[in-house]
Amino acid sequence: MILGKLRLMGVSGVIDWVIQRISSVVISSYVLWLFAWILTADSVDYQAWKALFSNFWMQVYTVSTVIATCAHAWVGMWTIGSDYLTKRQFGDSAFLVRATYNAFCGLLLFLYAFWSFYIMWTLT
Amino acid sequence: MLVSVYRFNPEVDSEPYMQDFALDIPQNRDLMVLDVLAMLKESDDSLSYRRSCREGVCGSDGVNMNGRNGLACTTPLSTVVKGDKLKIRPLPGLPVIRDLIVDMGDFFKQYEKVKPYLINNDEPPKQERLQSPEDREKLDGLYECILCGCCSTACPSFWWNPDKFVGPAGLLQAYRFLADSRDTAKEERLSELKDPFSVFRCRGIMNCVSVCPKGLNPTRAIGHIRNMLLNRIA
Repeated sequence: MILGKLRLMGVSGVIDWVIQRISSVVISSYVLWLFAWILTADSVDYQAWKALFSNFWMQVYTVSTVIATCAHAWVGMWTIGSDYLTKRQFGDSAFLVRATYNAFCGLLLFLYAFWSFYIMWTLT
Repeated sequence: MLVSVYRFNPEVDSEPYMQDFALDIPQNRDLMVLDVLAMLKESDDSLSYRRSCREGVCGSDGVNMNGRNGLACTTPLSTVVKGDKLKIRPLPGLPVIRDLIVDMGDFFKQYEKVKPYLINNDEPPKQERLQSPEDREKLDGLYECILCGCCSTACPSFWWNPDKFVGPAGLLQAYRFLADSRDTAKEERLSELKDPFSVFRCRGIMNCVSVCPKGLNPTRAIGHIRNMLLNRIA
């Protein structure tokens, strides 16, 4: 049960799979958009960057991409943990090792997301 | 030719080792790897391996030859020997019982998990459950699996989670029954496959496709299962 709760997005393989595909599309589109902006902007200096990220829709897009990145990373990191941090490698302490690893990854991703939101909404 | 064979007898050896044999291979003949194993057994009858039909039907003699899984009986030396050397190891990822014999327990547990038999609780007709030629065609490329285990033991996802990931061989059979027009348990079958491990641990590495001695394509079958699972939630 506890393991099940720790899995969070690992509850259903279908949901994990969909999350990874959708988040990939969001991240790719964001990267392409940024490249397009850099290539077409009149000047790429501090003022231009600030103006770009002060736009409400750019902030929404950026925060959405951060959420997508965190969700994508969570599914990936959880998968890595369940591949390598198993009973075969760690014996009876495998659960504790995996739970610690998952908690660390979850906390780190949460902090990244929180930090990104903070930067975005304190720009203006 | 230098043949290096994995040896391990748990009653005698504390750990496995590779034993080298120098063999004179007859010229102008392309022997199978199984012939080489038989020649080795003549010189050392303690060498253990599985074999039965010696024509690629029973699936008993799956081994790893120069790093590639395959059936010893249908693999000509000309296709695997490099630099006049051949290394023969047991199928990777499964516990070794002795020499080239592995414990296929995990493999068959996964096979059992997919219920590899027709489920149909409808009243049976007087003679047999009929199927159109088109529906029958859907089973081609699926039913031919001989369960040699070459695919699953070449799959890293199966190495890491042999107790949770069904593996390519099991999933090929899962789709064989999902695709069968006579089977009425599709929903139940799919429900048992929707967790993060059974199907979705497949990363599309496709080792299974490249080693299958019968030329089957488990990755494609897994893709079909994935689509069926997605269509359920769409």
